[in-house]
Amino acid sequence: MIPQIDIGALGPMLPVAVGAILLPLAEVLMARKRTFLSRPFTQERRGTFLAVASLLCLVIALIISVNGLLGPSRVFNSGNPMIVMDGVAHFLNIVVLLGASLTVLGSVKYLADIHSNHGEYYALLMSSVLGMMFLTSASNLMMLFLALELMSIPLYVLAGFRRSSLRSNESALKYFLIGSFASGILLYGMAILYGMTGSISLAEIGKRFDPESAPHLLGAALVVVGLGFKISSVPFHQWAPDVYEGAPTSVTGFMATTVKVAAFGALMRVLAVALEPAAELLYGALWVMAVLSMTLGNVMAIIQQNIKRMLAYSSIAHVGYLLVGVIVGTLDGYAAVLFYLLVYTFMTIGAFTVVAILAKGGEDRDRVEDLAGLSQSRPLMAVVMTLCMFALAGIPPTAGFMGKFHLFRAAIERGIEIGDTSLFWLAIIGVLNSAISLAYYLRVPLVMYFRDAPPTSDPDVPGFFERVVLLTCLAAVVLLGIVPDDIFNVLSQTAASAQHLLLLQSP
Amino acid sequence: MLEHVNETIRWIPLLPLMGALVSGLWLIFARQELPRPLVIGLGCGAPMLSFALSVREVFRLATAFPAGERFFIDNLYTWISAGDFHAELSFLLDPLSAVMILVVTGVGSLIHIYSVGYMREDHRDDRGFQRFFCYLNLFTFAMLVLVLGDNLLVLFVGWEGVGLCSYLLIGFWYLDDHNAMCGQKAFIVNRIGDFGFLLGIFLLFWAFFEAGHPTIEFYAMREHVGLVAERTVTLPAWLGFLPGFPTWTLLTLAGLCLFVGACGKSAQLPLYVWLPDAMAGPTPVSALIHAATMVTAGVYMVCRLSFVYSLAPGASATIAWVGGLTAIFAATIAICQKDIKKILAYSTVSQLGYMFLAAGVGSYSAAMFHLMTHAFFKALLFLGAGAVIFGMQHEQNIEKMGGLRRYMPWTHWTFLIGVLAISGAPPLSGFFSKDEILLGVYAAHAMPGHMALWWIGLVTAGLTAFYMFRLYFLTFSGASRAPMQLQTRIREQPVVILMPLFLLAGLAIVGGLVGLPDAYGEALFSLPSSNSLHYFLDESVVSATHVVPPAREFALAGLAVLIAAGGAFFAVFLYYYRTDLVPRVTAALRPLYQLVWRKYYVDELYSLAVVRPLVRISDAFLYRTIDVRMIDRLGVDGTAGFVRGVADRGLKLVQTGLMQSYVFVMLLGSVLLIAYLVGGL
Repeated sequence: MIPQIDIGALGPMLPVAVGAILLPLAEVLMARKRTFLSRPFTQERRGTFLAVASLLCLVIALIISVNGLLGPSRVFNSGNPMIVMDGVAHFLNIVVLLGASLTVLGSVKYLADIHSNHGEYYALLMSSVLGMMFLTSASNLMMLFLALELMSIPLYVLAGFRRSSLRSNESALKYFLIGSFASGILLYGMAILYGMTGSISLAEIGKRFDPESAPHLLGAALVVVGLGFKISSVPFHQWAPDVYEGAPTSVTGFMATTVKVAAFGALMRVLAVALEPAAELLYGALWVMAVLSMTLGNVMAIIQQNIKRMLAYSSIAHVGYLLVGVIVGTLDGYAAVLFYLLVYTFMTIGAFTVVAILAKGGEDRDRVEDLAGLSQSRPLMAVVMTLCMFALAGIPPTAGFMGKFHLFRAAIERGIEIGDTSLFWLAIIGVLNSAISLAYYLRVPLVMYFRDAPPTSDPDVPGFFERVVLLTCLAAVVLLGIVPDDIFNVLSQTAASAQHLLLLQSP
Repeated sequence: MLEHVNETIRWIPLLPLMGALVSGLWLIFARQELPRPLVIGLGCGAPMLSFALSVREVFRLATAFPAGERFFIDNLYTWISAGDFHAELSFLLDPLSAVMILVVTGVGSLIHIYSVGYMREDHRDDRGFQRFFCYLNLFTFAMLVLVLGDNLLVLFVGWEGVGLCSYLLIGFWYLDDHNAMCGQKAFIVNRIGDFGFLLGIFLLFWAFFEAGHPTIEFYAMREHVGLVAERTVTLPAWLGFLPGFPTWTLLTLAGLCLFVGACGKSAQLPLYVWLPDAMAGPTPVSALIHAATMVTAGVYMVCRLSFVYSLAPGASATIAWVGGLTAIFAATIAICQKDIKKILAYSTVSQLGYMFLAAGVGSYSAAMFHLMTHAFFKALLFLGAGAVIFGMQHEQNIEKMGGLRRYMPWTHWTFLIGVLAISGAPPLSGFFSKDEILLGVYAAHAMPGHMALWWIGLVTAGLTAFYMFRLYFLTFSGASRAPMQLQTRIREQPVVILMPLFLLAGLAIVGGLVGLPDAYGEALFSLPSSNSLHYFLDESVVSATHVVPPAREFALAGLAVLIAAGGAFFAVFLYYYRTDLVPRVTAALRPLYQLVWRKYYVDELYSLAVVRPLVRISDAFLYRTIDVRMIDRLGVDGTAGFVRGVADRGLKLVQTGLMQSYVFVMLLGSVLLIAYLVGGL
């Protein structure tokens, strides 16, 4: 039987793929031109041109994705589906594309400032985005692994994009080696799963999975480890601070957000579909991972002096919060994860953009003390940073509060429903951790508003694109905090449709 | 049949918001001002359009529905829904908010226009002109959200929004430290009030939640308020000195908490201290925010929750007494002040006291009536004062003015109308509204000590006339006391400044006719129910009813006019005919004069009793002991030190920066995970 192929389902990926292929070509062609519109075609203008071109691709993909979200779910190939473009995939793609667009906008000036304005940056970024988009929609193990690698390999290069910087090189090498190790574990787990169930389709594995059998569980455990590495959950998190600190700041923002968005998409799909029979056991393990991530992430963040390291640990803590929604495992829980990923993307990129702007002339000024007096010299940056910190800490009425509220509410409601006290405890530990996190989040506004700037300090003026990023993040952090409650019901339905589709699609 | 759902309402607040956003974003992105005509068009156009829309919708509201069913609702979306509780972001246009939005957008538009003239030559800060209009539009938006919100949460959002804008605008010329400090004072004092306000909201919500109706919507609360009326709370023993100990109704407690918020926002005793300092802001700001609109938010809130206060006599009596005492207290301070804006500020505090007095005795529509007329004449007075200050090259001391009638005739005439209106001269607007308040107090037999309050109101009316005429004569009559070179440069103001003055003067004259008391309507035009404002508002508020025979009503009004005339006459005598007597009078009353001139030493008292101990406790105890020694050293540094200590010995073994160890930890984690899953560890 010839499977029916629906190429149209890949619509959102198409512009990104075209961009990933054509951008290096454009770079080569442009390198020959000396003038453009009778003005010298400098390296900086080339960079801007490439950034705008990639932004265009991303925006087109964004539009198609939004359309897709509003329309019915589609499947790339019938029979044994490889790619399922359902609501969750579309929504996560939208988040990824938004994060990528903000990263592109925030990179233009930053790359020029650190003298790393090489054209392949954007091509690598686009390849990685393409991988993420496949990752969110992959519905069999092979596709999942390919997408994961397509996402990761460009990131290894991007992490080392400041070629002259040792820290950047170290970061790239570490990320690559540990990433390969994690990929190996993941692949091993996948192989075991395939060997035991005889299928690579997530839905099919879900049907044949035997929670009593040790090899089945071994495969499941290794897959969880592999994905746990990608979301940098404790105890698979240790690379994150080192890599985040060394990588160029714009790349760090990208890695800290979009990678997690895509990996959480894969994690949710794998857990809800393929490993569903072992859910109870796995949730026990994830419970421990969530608590450890939250607690360790927050406690370690307190003692950091470097903002990028602090934000790295904070992102580990946020993985813990997000895992709460995954563990809850209800539609409300998934919807809360989706919403939180959206919010998290904006608040984290906002914070990293401020840090990136501060990095002037290639010399990273990324200690918390370097923010002193920012409220005086650059009020807009200070306001954005403050709101992002408030949002990360979960102070109402910012988006961060709403996100956490929904996560913990879902946990408590589910706990009441099935009479499971461990879910209550999860919510309580989460709230306590939010309180702990205030210690380091609030230090940032404190330094910005109540410490005088050192006399030598002259922070860079944000460029036009950077101001767009800052204001977008500002608006999103505020508006997502006061959006209608309906968005949540919509997300819940989105999750429902996805689950529905995946279960139906198994032959 | 007209629908109650009306989606036009949202544009009334959204238009000014759009104005603020456009000019604000432009400032951020372009780092320069838009062309002036565009700034003016945007800044003034937004509130004017909003005003036009308000007039249209209020007209439809008043004509399309029968009495008792007049409301429009515009539900934007559900903000939060958790179980049975829903917080909607929705706007409600009923008679009460109708009056408020007309005042806010109408008077607001005039003040926006005036600001074009007032701010045009302000070069203290480049981009200041556009920034000013951005804030002003933002304020208009927040104020409209406050009055249009159909539940406590939306009201609170607007409440905080206007507070923020007030802070931004008081400190508008922030380069001067004094102005920035005044802004902070306003903000901090308001925080004290807002604390009570929030507690009140929580208490009310809790009460309704326990009664099975978890709602914060005004109309739903009003419908179910009977269910919670009997609910009592037991006070702790150390509050034994309070009347009614040990049980209060919950509504009384909630009402009092909410009133604490109103005291902060509307500058009542003992939280009035920020308002006189708020005069550091540009004069249009004083007119719009600190006279006509924001400071009346507390009065609006009490009227909006009249269904709570009508069931909480204790809270109502407190409001009436606080209002009455504030009225007379502030009026006496105003007598001795020399700064033209400070006098008007204390006068505002005093007039707000009148409004609370009315609300406290249950004459909510009288409070709203006075709120409206006060907005007209006080905005007029402030804008007139602004014109004077502008003409005098930023001189605010009335002892250095005098004789301005010759230099600025138009400003002078409009200012005189404002003075007459606030003094209660018939038939100007202030006469009717003040009279309705005094009548309400006189007839409030249920209120303990209502006759004492009535006398306080009467005396305040006399004092008001006195200090306003003192201000008028010192500023406009006699010979000029300004330096010669300044005298030659004093000019009448341009049309853009005068036009709002004329319009406001017109409103100050005829504005009282919408609330022409029935007795007058009957006697003059044989209209039995001429107090249309009262009947219009009565749908929204739960007013106390009182019946006073018309003859008694006329007699009371006559008495009030006589007392006011007495005050005015005294001022004419002292400051026009026998100016030589003034130093002798003040010398004779030296201690008393000193006391009043120094504003009863309230600021000093607060500084001594609250601010300094607080600073000392904060610094010596909270900061040095608790924060530095305990929290920092033991808590944060302790934890951090502990973590660091552990990190040094243990975790450093793990977080080494060495990949081998990272891989090892990962493997260890994997093994544990596998052991847990497979081995059932």
